[in-house]
Amino acid sequence: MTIIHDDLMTPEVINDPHTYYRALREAEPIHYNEKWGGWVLTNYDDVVQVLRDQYRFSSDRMGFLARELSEEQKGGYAPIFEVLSRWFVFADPPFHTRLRLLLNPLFTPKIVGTFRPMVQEIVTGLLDTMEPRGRMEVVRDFAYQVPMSVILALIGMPDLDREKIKHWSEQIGVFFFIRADEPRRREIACEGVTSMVDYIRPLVEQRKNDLNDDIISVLIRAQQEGGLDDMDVISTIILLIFGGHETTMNLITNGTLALMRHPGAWEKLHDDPSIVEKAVEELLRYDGSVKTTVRWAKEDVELKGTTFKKGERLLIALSAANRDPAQFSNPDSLDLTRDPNAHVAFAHGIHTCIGGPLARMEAQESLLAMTKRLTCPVLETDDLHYVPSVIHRALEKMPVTFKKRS
Amino acid sequence: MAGKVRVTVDHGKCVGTTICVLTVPKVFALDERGQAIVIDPDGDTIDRLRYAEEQCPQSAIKIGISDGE
Repeated sequence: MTIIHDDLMTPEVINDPHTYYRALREAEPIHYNEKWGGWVLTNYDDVVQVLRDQYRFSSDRMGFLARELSEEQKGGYAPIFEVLSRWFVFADPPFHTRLRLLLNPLFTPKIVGTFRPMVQEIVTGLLDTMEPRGRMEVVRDFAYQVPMSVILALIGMPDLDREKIKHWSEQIGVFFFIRADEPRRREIACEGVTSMVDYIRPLVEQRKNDLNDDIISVLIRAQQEGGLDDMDVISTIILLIFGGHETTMNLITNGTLALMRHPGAWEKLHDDPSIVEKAVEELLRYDGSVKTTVRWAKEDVELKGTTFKKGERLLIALSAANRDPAQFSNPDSLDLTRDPNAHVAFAHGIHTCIGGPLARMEAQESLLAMTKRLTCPVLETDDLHYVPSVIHRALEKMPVTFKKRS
Repeated sequence: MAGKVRVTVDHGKCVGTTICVLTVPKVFALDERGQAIVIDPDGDTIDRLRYAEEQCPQSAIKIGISDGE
C-alpha cells in the first residue's frame, strides 16, 4: 500500500492536488490526517453524504476555532471573530437559513440571466484593451476584473475604490488561505477586516436614506424588519465581496488554463459556442477553484465503519470527489460535453454556493468571448505558482500571449 | 376547470440545498439521500410553486399544468 504523507502544503500537493488526492482516495478514502488534525474524505459518495447532512455536521467555523483558542488568543482575533462569525457560509441554521432565504432571490438563475448583458459589456471592454497588446496576465488583467465589477455593481458599491477593496479582501484571504508562508497572517487579516468595516459602515448609513434595489438596500430593509444588527449587514456585504470575486476569478483562470493545455479544447469551444454551459460545468469539475471545505461533527457519527468523534473536523475534498472514477468515467480527462456531470464544485446541501449561477454565467461569458476573439493563448512561462492554500486552487499569476483572430 | 399541477425534481441536478423545502414545505420534503421529493403537488398555491421553481439554484424543479385528461 502506498504510504500517504500528511503534509497538504508541500509544493507537489499544492501544484498538483489531484495526484495526491487520487492516491489518498485509492489507499484510504476516509483518512485521519495527523498534521492537519482531522479526517480527510475523498470519495464522492462520502463527500456528498456529509455535505447534505446539516443535522450531524456543522459549518460553524468560528465557533469551533474559538474552542481551540485561549481567551488571550481570541482577543487577538477579535475583529475577525466579530465579522466572520456572522458569515452565513460559516453558520448553521437558523441564522444561516434567515440570510440564505433573504439573499437567494438575488442570485437565482433567472435573475442572473438579466445580468448577462452587463457581463458581456464588461468582458468586451476588457478584451478591447487587451487584444491589441497581444499579451495579458490573466489573473489580474482579466479574471479578477470581471467578477469584481459585477459584484460591486450588485452590492451597490463605488467601483473607483476597487483596488482598495481588493487589497483588504486579499488581507482577509490570508486567514482562509491558511498561508503557511505568512507568519503575520492573523495581524494582516485583522487589518483587512477592520479597514473593510470602516469603509462599508458609512456607505450603509448613507444608503439608509436612499434605498434602491441593490444588495445593501435589501439587507437594510431586512434589518428594519428585525433580527439583523448593523454588524450582520456589514459582515454579509464583506462576505459577498469576498465570495463574489475570489472564487470566480480562480474559476476563469483555471478554466482558461485547462482549455489551453488540452489540444483542441480552445478551438472546440470557439467552433461550437453552444457547448459553453456543459464546458463550464466540466471546468468546475476538472479543476474548480475550491479544493476543500470543512465540517465539524456535532455528535459521534459513524461512516463506513469509521467513527468521527463529536467535535472532530473533516476536510471535505471536493476536488477529489470530482475525480472519483466511481462517479465519473475517465475522471482525469477533460470532456467539454460531459453529461451527466453531477460535480460538487459548489458543494452540496444547505451551503451550496449561493453565487453558483452567477459564477457559471460569468465564466461562460468570459470563456466565450476569449475563445471567440483570441487564438489559443500560450503561456509566457511554464513556471506557474499556486497560492499555498489547503482550500483554494488559485494561481498567483498567469502571463500569456495570444493573437487576435483574423 | 383548472388543469392538474405536475411537479418534478430532476435528481441529476438536485444537490439538496433544501430551499424548496423551506419555501413550500407542504409540497417538498427530503429523501434519505438528502434530495428533494414531491410529497403533495397541490400543497400550496401555483404562485408559491412557481416561486420555489425559480429559487432553485440548480433549476432542478419543473412545474407544469397538464390538461385534466
